[in-house]
Amino acid sequence: MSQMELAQKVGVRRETIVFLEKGKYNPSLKLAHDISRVFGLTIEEIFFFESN
Amino acid sequence: MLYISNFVLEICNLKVFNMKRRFNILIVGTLLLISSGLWVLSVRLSVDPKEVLVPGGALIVIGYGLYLGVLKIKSLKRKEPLDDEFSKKVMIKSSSLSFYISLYMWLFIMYLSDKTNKEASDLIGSGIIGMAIIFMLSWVGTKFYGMKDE
Repeated sequence: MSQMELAQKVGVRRETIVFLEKGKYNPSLKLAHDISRVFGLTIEEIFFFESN
Repeated sequence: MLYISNFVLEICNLKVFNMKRRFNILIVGTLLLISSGLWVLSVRLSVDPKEVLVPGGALIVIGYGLYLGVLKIKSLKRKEPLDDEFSKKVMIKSSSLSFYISLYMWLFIMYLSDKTNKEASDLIGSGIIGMAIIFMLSWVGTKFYGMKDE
């Protein structure tokens, strides 16, 4: 799946997906939930929280 | 070992704090550099800085507006939403950052108003263009560094 396709499925801009992949942006709960639904996984399986 | 790891953690936290502070200093430093360059130009070449600063600043702001317009058109062609949560957060953060920096810019202009013979309208016009440029730089910087910890 391309960044553009994922962006269209969750209703955001492609640059948002780019910044998510680079780790330069933390998604909102709704966006994280929408992305996990697209892949059929849980939020914890897609997003990893790194403690500072 | 715990003491050493805590010490390393503090250094890392200092690094992050210093990077954020450096970004603000970079913006202010860039503006000071530009104004210093214009001052040198005016002294050496007998060029009125107003003749360079105001049209140059206006061109930069107009160019920035055109660039944003082109981005919007490209988004429409790709059938992307014009705004989403990330772009709105970038706008909010860059607006607040530019407001914070603009306060210092206006203080500097107020200081200059007592030292120069410039009319108030010239200073206000320069300040307005300065605010637009500061916002543009804040927006670019926010997009470049991202918003990882927010």
